[in-house]
Amino acid sequence: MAELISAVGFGVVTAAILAISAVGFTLQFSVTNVFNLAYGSVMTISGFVAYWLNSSGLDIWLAMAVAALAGGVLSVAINEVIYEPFIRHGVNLFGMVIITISVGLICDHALQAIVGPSFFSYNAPAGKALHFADLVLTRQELAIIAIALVVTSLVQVALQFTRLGRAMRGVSVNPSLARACGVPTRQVIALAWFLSGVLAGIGGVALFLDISTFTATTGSEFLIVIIAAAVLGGIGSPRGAVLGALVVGIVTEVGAAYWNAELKDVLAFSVLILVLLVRPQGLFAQLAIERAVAR
Amino acid sequence: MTAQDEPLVVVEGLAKSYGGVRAVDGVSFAIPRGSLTGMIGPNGAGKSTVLGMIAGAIRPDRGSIVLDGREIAGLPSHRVARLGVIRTFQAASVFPRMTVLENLLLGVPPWWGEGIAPALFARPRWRSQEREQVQRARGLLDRLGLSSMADTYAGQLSGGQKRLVEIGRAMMARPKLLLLDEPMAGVSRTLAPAIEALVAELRQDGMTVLLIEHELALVERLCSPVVVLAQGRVLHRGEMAEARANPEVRRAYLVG
Amino acid sequence: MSAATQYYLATILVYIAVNAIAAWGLDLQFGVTGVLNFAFVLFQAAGAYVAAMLSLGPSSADGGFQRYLIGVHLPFPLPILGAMLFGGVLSGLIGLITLRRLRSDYQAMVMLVVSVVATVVVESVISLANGSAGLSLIPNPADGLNGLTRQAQTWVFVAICAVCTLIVGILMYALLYSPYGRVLRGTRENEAAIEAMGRNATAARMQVFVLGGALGALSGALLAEFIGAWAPSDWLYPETFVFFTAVIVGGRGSVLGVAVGSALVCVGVQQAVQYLPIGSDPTVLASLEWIITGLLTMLFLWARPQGLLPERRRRFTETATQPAEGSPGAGGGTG
Repeated sequence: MAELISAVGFGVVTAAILAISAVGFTLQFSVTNVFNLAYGSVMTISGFVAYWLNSSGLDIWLAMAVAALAGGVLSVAINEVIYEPFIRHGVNLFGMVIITISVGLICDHALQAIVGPSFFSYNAPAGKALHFADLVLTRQELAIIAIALVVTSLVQVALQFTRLGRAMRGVSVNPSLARACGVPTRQVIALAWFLSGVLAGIGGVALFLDISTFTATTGSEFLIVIIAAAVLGGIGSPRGAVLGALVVGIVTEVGAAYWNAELKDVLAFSVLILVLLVRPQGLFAQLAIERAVAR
Repeated sequence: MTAQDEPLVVVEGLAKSYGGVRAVDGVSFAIPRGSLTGMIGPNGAGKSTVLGMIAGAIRPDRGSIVLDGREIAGLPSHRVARLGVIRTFQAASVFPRMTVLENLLLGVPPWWGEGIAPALFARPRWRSQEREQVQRARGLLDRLGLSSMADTYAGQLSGGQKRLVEIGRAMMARPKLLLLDEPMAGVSRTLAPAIEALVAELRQDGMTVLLIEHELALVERLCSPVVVLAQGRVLHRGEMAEARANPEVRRAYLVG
Repeated sequence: MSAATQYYLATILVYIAVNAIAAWGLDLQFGVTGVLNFAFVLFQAAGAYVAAMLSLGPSSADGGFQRYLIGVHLPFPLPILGAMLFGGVLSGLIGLITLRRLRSDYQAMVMLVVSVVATVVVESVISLANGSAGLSLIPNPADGLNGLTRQAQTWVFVAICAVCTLIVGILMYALLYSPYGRVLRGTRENEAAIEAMGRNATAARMQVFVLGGALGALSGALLAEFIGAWAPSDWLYPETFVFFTAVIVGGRGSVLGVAVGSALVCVGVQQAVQYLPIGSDPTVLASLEWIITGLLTMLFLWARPQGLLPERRRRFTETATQPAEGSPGAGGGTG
């Protein structure tokens, strides 16, 4: 029983990081219809921005805030400088997927050429271990969970209750109709990219904190798991992304504890493939039913 | 009633819903053999959905579609096509980066030469058959007035020319039933008469055609009988003149 | 020519051959039929592993330092043929799952995930193919020719690769310049239309998935037998992207184009970076290769998406029959 609880505990931390990242990924996809496979690279670069600040002495949580901002800016820049021109140039959606992969590879390897293939860590003590019955969580892990709760709730509130949030949902369901209704689609899209980058930044730093050591390719490696969570919950639905993250995070950790630790990731992906076969729109399609799925 | 008098297609109780919306809500009608049957109705009436279900592109929720005595409802589109039902699309659906001639060659019904084994081992035999198909296609291009475009990529043609290619491709298949989904859509005023003439010729040649169109004058000129749809249901079956006189039909259409 | 130069030249030729075969496999799937197979490197890997398992002999040999399945010592060319068969079967299985039910963008994502899953499985389940350490001491078919020098043996293997490449190239031409090829291209160009003309697009995609998978496996088998070793680090999921670049740069749907593209992108870039004046740190060179590959893809998708040697327009020399094609038939049906 203790094992189960502690596995669930680990699962919740993983789920927290996944939730932040998956919401960013899926939100941007829902508004722009582009599968951004460079998302992992944005996470990595933000993580490294935090690293450089942190090694110069800045507290890791402040560094995370700056890194999030950097992620947002980078994300918007990539879209404005690379993606939008290609889209205007007439590249179709498959071509765009390949473009995003290219951008991701270039970013990762440019970063690697600069920082080298070594492993890095933050200067951030894990903090006191807190006991909740059989559950043991460090201060750091609690902070990550708290941040995830705050961030995902803020996003949900913003989408439901603010004008910008409604505009984003409008563009996501029907861009031309939104434009006809006077929604400034260009700005809304840019905002979606910015938000996505901010979430990537927070998620990236949280990820690097949780796994202790990281390299220039860690973010992209994690992207596959993010995709799994986002698609599981129903691609394009931020609420679905959170639920997908919970499922993936907890199932993998529990499975690892009870079955075989090495096959943890395999379990996550097998769940994903199974769900996609049975229910291609993802588990929580009701949440995604507003949007017209791409194509 | 002899076999020839039996309608080619009998549609009974066809229905399709999307989400909560009933796009087609119990549609029944018949397409007489050798007729040019028209299907009209305001936007959103469900015409394209009905055509899609006959063509196998859309799975009906309910209902039956009998082609020449054979139930085809729910069959996938490639199976329905092999049974002799060929359709065109609202947006002229050519193969853009293939030549006009190749587009027509893909109109020939699936044949033995298209397999992997013939490709690898039986070149001389399929080559001679392909030659015949090319000759037939070129003849058709002459009839369509597109001979000079035979080697042009179909994607580079105008909307009306694409439509001609699409119909020509359908003609290569010698279909039992030709489904035309708004063939005038996207066609310039210069080419529209040519397409209308082509459709009229097809009827004279004895082909059975189902035609969806918005331009009521054209439907009146060409089609008999006419099925009027509105909000997923059949309002009227019969001649265009009768339809015009029907008050329900007039109400459904804000513009005549 | 010194031994070292000979070996260098032979290596280049083998790599050009092996990459051409693989790129043709992907071209058949992506360039001609429009299937975005983001798991392609998995089939090359499968071929490499199976060829190894069919030629290494029992895993207990050499002190049992590596663990793997099967473990027989079959003579050439059986390991290679076995690899191709397995590649085809594996593609078929994966295709049955992924090609049938999913939308195209999901499909691409699922293939990516499949590639990663495979890597994790092979690394975790050591008894499959010796985990992360991979397999080594894979015998080269030319090693058995006792009368020849080491160098001559290498050249025999180069000849084997050359013959394979020639056969596959002829196969590609035969497939693409045929009615079958036309159906494949139609599936790429307009799936709804090709189905409306009675062809089964899903079946066509399955077929090229299996064929392309077998070609990928052939490529992997030859590569593994040449290098003598094969490990998960040789087939990480981004490697698929290199093949995509080769097909895009060379010319989608063009047999010669893809061969040229694979020589340039898979071999040329790697060689070229070594001659750049930026030192010889292997990590930097590797990173530079990836950066150049990514930039090449973007450049070509922007400026020349049809590739260096675009797919050739098919022309026919026959003229029309004398009278213009008459009535298209009075509802006679197609039978």
